[in-house]
Amino acid sequence: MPIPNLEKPIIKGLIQKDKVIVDGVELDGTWNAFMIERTQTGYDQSVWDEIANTIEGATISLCWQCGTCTSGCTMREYDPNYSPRRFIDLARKGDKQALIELQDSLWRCVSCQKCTHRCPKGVLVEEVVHSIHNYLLKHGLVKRDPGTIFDELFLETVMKNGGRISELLLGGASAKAGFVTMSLRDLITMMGPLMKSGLIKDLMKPNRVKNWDRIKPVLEEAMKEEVVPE
Amino acid sequence: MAGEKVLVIGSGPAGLSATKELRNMGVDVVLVERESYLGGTPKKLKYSLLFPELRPASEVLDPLIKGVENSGVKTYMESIVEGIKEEDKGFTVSIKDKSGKIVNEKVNAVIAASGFEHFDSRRKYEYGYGIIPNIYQISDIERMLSENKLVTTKGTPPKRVAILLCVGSRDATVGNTYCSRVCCAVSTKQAMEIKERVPDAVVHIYYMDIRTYGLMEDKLYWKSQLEYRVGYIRGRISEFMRGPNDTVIIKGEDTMNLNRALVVPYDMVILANGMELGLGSKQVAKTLGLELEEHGFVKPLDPDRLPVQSTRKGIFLAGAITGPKTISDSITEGYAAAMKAYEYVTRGIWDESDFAKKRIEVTHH
Ligand SMILES: Cc1cc2nc3c(=O)[nH]c(=O)nc-3n(C[C@H](O)[C@H](O)[C@H](O)COP(=O)(O)OP(=O)(O)OC[C@H]3O[C@@H](n4cnc5c(N)ncnc54)[C@H](O)[C@@H]3O)c2cc1C
Ligand code: SF4
Ligand code: SF4
Ligand code: SF4
Repeated sequence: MPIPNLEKPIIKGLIQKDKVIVDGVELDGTWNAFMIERTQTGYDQSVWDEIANTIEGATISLCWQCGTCTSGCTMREYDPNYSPRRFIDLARKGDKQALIELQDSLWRCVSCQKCTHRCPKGVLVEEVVHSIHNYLLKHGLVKRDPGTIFDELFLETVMKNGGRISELLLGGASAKAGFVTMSLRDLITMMGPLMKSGLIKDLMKPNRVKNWDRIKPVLEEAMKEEVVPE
Repeated sequence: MAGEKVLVIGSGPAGLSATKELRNMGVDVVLVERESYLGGTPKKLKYSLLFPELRPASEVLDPLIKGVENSGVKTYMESIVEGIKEEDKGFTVSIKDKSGKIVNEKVNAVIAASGFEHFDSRRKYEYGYGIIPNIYQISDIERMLSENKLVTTKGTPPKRVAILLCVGSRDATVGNTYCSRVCCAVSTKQAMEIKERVPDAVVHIYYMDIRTYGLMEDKLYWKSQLEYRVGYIRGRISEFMRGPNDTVIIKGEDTMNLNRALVVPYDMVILANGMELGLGSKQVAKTLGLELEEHGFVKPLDPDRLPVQSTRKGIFLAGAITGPKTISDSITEGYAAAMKAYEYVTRGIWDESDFAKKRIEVTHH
C-alpha cells in the first residue's frame, strides 16, 4: 500500500520496493517505515473561540468533518497537503503546531467556492479557511505567505497610484518581492511600445480617479478598522 | 371480566406504563419492585435532564409514578419474585420481601419489566475507574448534575473535561459486542449541561462514531457544537494515568489526523458506561424460565413481529430487559405489553412464532 502523502514527512528510513520475494512468498509494499513520534500534549480551546467570533469564521462550529469540501477542492489537486476539512479540525481542536506545519499550504485557496456550495452543513468553508489563516498571521505563528504579500503590494500600488492599478508598477513591485523576474532586456523591450502609445506619460504622472484627495482618507480610515461581529 | 390479574415485575418507565394501562382497562395488577421507591433506574440514579428534549426527569417520571400510586395497585416494595408455578388458568407466584417473608399470589399473566444495569467500568481496569480520582461514569454524573454538585476533588467545578464513549459497549474484551444506544445522547447532553454551568470549561468527547440517531442528530449533536462548542475528537482512549494535582492524563490517538499520539491532561474524566442486563433481570429471567439472546438480554419470541412476548406462554416483556432502549421506547413497550397481556387474560390470545427456536448464527470477532 502506498504511503499517503500526509504521512511521508513524518516517516524516516523509508525503503520502498514494488515487489519482494522472501522465502518464496511474494510481498509488496513498504519496509522500515518508522514513524517519528509526535505527541500532542494539549489543545488550545481559545483558537476555536477566537475564530468563531470573527465574521468570516463564524460558521466553523457547524463542521462535522465529512470531507466533502476537501474531496472537491480545486487546490487539493495541486497540493496533497491542502485540506479545508483538516484545517477546520485542527483549528477547532487548537492544534497550533499542526497548523504551523501546514503553513506552506494554508494560504493557497483560490476562492473558487466549490467547497462552500457543497458543504452539507452550510459552513462557509472558503471564508473559514481564510479566517484560520488570518488567525495564524495575526498571532505571528506563520511566516507571511506570498498571497498575503501580493495582496499588500496590490493595495499599496493602488493607493500610490491614485486609486488605479498600474500593471507596470505592480510588475515592478512583484519582481522586487521575487514573484516574477524582470531583466534589463524586458525593460528595454517594454520601453518601445510604452513610448509609442504614449502610456509612458501615465506612468510618470498617473491618471488618478476623480476626487482622489477625498476618497483616499476614507479608504485609509476603512483599512484601519477591524470588523467585529455583533 | 372476572378479576383477571397480571403480575408486573419492575417499576421503571416500562413497568409503570404497563401497570397504568392495565388499570385503565380494568385489569388488577400486582406490582413487585426490588427497591423501596417507584421510578426505576432514572429515579435510582437521580437523572438530571432527559435527552432529547432536555427537560427535568421528574417531568416525565412523576406523572407516571403518581398515576400508579393512585390506581389501587397492590404493590410489594423491596420484594422479588422467588418462584412461579403454572396452573390451569395462569400462575401462582411466590413473592419474597426483604425479611424473607413469602406471600403467594394467583395471576393470569406476567409482565417482566425489570430493566437494565449500568456497565461497571472497574471491569476496564486500564481506565482506572475507582482508583484514580476525578474519573466518573455518566451514571454518576447524572446525580452530580441534578444535585448541583459537579465538582472535582478540589471542590471546584471542572475546567477541562474529557468524555470517553463506548465504555463497556462495542468491546469484545468485556464480551459486549453491541451498542448501548443511549450513551452518545447522554454524553452529548451532559457535555451541554456542563458547558451551561461552567461556560469557560473545555469539554472534549472522544468517540468512534456518534450515534445520536433519528431526531437527535441536530437536537443534540449539531447543537452541542454550534451553541456550546463541545469538541469531538475521534479516537478511543487506551488508558488513563494519574497526573499532578489530581489531574487525569489520557493516552489516545487522534485518528482524524494521522499519527498524532495524544497525552492530554484533564481535571475530570467521564466514562460513558453502557447498558447490561444486570443481576436483577437475570434473577427474573432465571425464576421465570426465560431464554436469553446472544448478547445476554432476554429473548423475545420474535424480535421483529412479537417484540413484547417472551418465549414462555403467558409472560410478556417490556423495556430495557430486551436490550438498550430510551425511556420513550420503554414506555411504548409498556403500553404494548399491557395490551397483549389484556388480550391474553381476557380472550386467551397468544401469537405463535418459531423464530426463537431457529438457530441463528451471529458472527463474533
Ligand atoms: C446514564 C444514563 C442516562 C440515561 N438518560 C436517559 C435520558 O435522558 N432519556 C432517555 O430516554 N433514556 C435515558 N436512559 C435510558 C433509560 O434509563 C432507560 O430507557 C429506562 O430506564 C428503561 O426503563 P425500564 O423500565 O425498562 O428499566 P429500569 O428503569 O431499569 O427499571 C427496572 C426496575 O426493575 C426493578 N428490578 C430489577 N430487578 C428486579 C427484580 N429481580 N425484582 C424486582 N424488581 C426488579 C429495578 O429496581 C427498577 O426499578 C439513560 C440511560 C443511562 C445509562
Ligand atoms: S464539507 Fe462542510 S461539514 Fe464537511 S468537512 Fe467540509 S466544512 Fe466540514
Ligand atoms: S474555495 Fe478554496 S478551499 Fe474551497 S474548493 Fe476552492 S480552493 Fe478549495
Ligand atoms: S450509543 Fe454511542 S457511546 Fe453508546 S455504545 Fe453506541 S456508539 Fe458507543
